[in-house]
Amino acid sequence: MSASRTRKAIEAIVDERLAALGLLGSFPATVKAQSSTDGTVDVKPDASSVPGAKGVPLRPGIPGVTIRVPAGARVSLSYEGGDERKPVATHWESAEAGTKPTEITIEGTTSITVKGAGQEAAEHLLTLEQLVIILVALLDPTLGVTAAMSTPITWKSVPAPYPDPTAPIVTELIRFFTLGLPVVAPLPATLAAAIQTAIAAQPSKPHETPGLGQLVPGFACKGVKSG
Amino acid sequence: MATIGGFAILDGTLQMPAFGAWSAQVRLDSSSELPTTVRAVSVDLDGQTLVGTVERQGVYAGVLEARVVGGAGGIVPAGALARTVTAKAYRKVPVRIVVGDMLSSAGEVLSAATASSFLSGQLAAWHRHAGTAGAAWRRLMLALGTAWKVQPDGSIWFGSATWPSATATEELLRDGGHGVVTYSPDAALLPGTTVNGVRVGAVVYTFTDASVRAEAWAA
Repeated sequence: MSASRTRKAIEAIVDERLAALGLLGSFPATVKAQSSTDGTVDVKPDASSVPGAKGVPLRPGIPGVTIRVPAGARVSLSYEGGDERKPVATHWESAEAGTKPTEITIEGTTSITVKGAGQEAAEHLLTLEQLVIILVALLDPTLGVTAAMSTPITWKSVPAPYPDPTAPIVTELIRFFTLGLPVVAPLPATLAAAIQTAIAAQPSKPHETPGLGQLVPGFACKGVKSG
Repeated sequence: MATIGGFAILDGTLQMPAFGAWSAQVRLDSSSELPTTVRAVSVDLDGQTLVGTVERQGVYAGVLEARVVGGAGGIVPAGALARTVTAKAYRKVPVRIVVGDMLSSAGEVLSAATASSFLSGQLAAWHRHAGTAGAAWRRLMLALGTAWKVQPDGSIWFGSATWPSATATEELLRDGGHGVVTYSPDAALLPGTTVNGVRVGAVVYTFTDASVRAEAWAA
């Protein structure tokens, strides 16, 4: 056997034994479609040596995050533990125009904190009812809050005079937190802007409500902070 | 008398591992090559027939020299018959589908002796990367946790090793230090069996014009 054939034979044996190492890498791929039911993606890798696949689960890297992407989004195909039975899509590339996520959902059982430099954290409340109580008070200072902050109240139990629940600002604020209720007007750009809009519509005197703290511009309110 | 393709083996060796493909490097009593249209040949080993394929052959000084591998040679790591496979992904399929595609691409045939319990198992996903059929086959066997070998009929078996009992007669030499027992077999001695309480990991046949010897290497 010539030296080259010997070398080829040894290389083939080594390649066969070490094939698993190649599966520890990540393979750039393009999303072809995403399932509307389980969020898995169909991908086409750039390399022809890697098979295109359907139904690949996502690994967004942060628990509680779900992502919906359009066709054309770029992702890495990997194999957990270097196991061909466990393909996953992870490590999204920076989105170009037309490939940005259509939806990103972050869920936490207690709270979700988003913080920017120089700002206090904007903290979502545990219950929608608690925030609605505050916002209703902002919209109508004549309304007192008779229920304790920790006691949820239903929308229907709020007495008249009561802001029209179909009014744009109220409806949009509800939609912002429940994501599913009917929309009757465009959503304000940010929650802070919506709150400031509500504040600006109220009388200029400060309003203090037991348990809610003092209303000030750029207000701080028990359970709610706004940067 | 041992023969290959109907021609007597003048001399050479037949190496048979317990798992994987056997191979033979022999000189045959023929002055012409085996027809290239007929690559599959039978090795007659004292009544035991082994089906393989001629990988290389050539006539030198009027004697045919040949290398024969078990089965079709498609999943041997390196060799003239080694095949390549393309990338292919599977999802929620029985093992038999992935195995069938794999062996078909390699030009091999699945053994009917393969347990149905292995074939009916489900794979949530399986990604076969392009490359040599041997590498892809080995990856599949590792994932399934099974052994494989070329059956005497040339088909590919995979599953759990059972090491069935077998007998071997006319022991000639016992090398305890290397775990090798040499026989002058009156019947084919196959690896993957248990002989005299010892698991036989490999058998190496040595052919000369005067004798046939079989070395049984302990697993």
